[in-house]
Amino acid sequence: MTERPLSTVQLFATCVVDAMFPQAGRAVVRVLEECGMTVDFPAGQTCCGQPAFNAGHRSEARSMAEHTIRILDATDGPIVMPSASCAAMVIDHYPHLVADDPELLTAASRIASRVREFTQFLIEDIGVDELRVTTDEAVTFHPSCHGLRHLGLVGYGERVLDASGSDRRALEGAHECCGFGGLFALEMPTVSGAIMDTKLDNIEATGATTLVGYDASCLLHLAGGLHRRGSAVNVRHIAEILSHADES
Amino acid sequence: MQRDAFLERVRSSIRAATLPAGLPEDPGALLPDLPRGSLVEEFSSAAEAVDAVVHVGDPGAVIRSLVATYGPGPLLTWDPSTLPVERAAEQFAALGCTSLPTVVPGDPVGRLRHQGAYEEAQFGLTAAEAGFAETGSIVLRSGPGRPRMASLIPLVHVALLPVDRIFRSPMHWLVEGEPNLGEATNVVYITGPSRTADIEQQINLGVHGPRHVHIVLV
Amino acid sequence: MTEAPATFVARASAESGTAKAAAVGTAARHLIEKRDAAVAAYPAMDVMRDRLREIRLHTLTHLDRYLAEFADAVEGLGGRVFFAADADEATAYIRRVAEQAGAGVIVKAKSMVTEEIGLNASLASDSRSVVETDLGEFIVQLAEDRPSHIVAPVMHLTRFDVGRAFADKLGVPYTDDPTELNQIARAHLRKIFLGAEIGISGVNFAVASTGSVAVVTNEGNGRLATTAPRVHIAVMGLERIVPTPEDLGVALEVLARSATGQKLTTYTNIITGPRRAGDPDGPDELHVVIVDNGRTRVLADEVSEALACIRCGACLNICPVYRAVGGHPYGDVYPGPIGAVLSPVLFGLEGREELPYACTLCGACLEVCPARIDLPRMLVHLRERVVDEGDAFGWLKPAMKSYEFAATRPRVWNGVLRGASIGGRASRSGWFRRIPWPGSTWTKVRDLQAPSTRSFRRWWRDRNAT
Repeated sequence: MTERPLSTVQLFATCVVDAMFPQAGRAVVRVLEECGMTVDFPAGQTCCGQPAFNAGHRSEARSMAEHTIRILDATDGPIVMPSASCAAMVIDHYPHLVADDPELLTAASRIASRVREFTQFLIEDIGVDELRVTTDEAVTFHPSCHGLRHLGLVGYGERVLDASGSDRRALEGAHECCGFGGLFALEMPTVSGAIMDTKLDNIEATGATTLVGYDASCLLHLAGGLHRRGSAVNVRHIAEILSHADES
Repeated sequence: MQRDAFLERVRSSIRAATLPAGLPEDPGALLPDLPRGSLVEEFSSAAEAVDAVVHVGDPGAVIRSLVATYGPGPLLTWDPSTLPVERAAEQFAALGCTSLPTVVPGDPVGRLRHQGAYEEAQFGLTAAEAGFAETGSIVLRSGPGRPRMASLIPLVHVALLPVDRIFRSPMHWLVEGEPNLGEATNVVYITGPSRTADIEQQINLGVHGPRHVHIVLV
Repeated sequence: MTEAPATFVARASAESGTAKAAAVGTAARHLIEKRDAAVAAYPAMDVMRDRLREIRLHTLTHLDRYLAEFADAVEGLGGRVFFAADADEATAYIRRVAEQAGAGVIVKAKSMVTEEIGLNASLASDSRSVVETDLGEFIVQLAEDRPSHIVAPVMHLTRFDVGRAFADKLGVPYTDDPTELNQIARAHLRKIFLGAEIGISGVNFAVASTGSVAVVTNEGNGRLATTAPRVHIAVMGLERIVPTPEDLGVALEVLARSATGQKLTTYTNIITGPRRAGDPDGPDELHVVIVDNGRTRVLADEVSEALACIRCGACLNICPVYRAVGGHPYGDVYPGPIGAVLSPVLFGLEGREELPYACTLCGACLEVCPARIDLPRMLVHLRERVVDEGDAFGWLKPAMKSYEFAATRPRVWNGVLRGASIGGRASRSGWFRRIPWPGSTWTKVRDLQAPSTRSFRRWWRDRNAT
């Protein structure tokens, strides 16, 4: 695919990956390094502020946006995120949040143009021809609403998995929400659970033994639901089952 | 509320509204890009897809077969001078379908009595002033000699549609067909027989409007 | 009057998992499948949606002008136009018309705005009998239930429910065969149509330049109710208007496709004025009631473009929340995503603070809306308003403050992560099935995996240290 002389990328780990799925962050670093990138982790990064923004707490979201913008603007190169919803937050909402401050607004626009969700970076910047999956389990892919509708990454996860030779089973209702919705999961748990059940039923119906995604929030929620129902289905961030062909 | 006060409230709300600037005023009509095939064929297949029946050929023979199929019964018809086949109403009469009076009296009691007789209407005979190939629809316009009830109350609606009045789509008619919507009390697009899917999403025909729609191309 | 404000969470919890909700979910899914098929077969859809949006927003920008043009045209043809500031004014006018007509039976074709203004109840208070003629609404009326969907009011009832209602209320032998049920309804309602003095309908679109009102139905009740009676009263929200017949055409291209996957509904009924000299039939009197009832508030608000809605119901059909719980939990009259935006602004935020949160922000509604109304953005905006005025969930404000404090101070954040790692060790299995409030809101329906014993940044730090 593209043969651009890329060297250093910045990793914005996202709070969910940092605390709950560090293995996804480690896998992203590994895959990027295997593909020849140098990965940097800007110190001082915390959270993109999406939970506050989505809950209507604009001023708190703005503080976190400002903090994140300053941290990231002091770096160069692509900013890779292992979570589509966080990437969408930065791209879609940061500029509006800091629009009252011209300097911050310029910085926000700069950063927004550098942000890539992980599979987006693979497909659009690195190329996926030399990736392989490291599992022979049957997998199924859940794209996130933010990835699909905000970032336009329709079919991205599936393409990466297919190009890497996975045994991928199509997921019925793949484009339907998993029911997490940020604070929605806590504020309206019964409804969140009902939506989740529909998604989990579809996942189990595929016969896949591994659920793969690119949004850690969805995965946290779905993994919790699968565990609650005693399912044998594993949950992995897509980076965890990928490897560069040269490494095998 | 008085009109002026009402509209003033609307105006002041618009001033505070969050609406984009630079919206085009009357940007002109938009014709959908549709495949160009035989209008008659497309019309027939689209009409059949919505459970209407399309007939080509001698209208007299069609009328005979319809009366044989559904049995004779009272007829609500448009005035012969409004039909592309003037003798069609006579043909129904000759087969034992008596015409119901169609001009509804102005007084409330007369009106109820007059329309009460409509309950038994078996056939409705009308012209259609246009058809849409894309959707299989016909267009009817009310006016002198053209009662609205004829296409609404009977069990079977028979519409005579001149073949050269088939337009590609509803938008094509609006743009090219001189619709003059404001010049008749009622203009209706009829797309197949009346239907509902309210009970368990199962389609059922003939709920309030005609159960059968027969379009005769003339 | 609208009923008591909705407590979405409580009602949603009660409806979730019930057979009724499941029926709504299945029907909604089915309608979207049909919508998708219709859109796939119609390459002009995107262009038409763009144009519809332009038309609707342009109309709102000049709404006063178009309403005036429309009213002039209707009155020029001998129709009457009444401008109703609120529900009370609208119902008072309609009651006066009914009084003057000496109305016995009144037939109605389905109209959301008439439900919004509580029309049936106000007419009943004059002992006037109002019969809903849309089959679904007729069933709702018989069964003394409430509609669960804009377009398909009895999505939530089975044929057995309907059969029972007919047998109980109409005195017919019990049947649950839909064909037979339809024929029973047809025969029963036919007599009523033909004997009614007044027909009341909604308006899908008014056309300003001609003074027309377009009423769109599949069943024919919209035509019968507006043709047989001597008096026709058309009730419309003030925003349900387009400038010209060609604009109406654009709206018709996308309405049925979005709502049910049909190219057109069976009847597209365009009415322009009362009976003219020479017309054999049709109502002698036409009254158009133009209703504000809070719409100017919506217009003046940041959610102005919510008035571009053409009431197709697609946003309901695709919404995961609506599919899970049906329409009833939203309260008021308008369910689903559009309802979650309109109801708080039309009827007041108080008691409806949860409504803007009844959404996962998945964005599917925006994806299917024929007018491309940015419902997710408006819902977040309404949440901001709820936050400004209070706290919909009691514990959110202090939690957000703590979260902001930690997330803007990396050392504090690192401390929190360390604490989480330690807390995670409390679980031997790596999972929590039950944790104290507010965490219990999570574990109510799913397990929580334990925070990792070593966070990502800790791993990174250790790696770089070597």
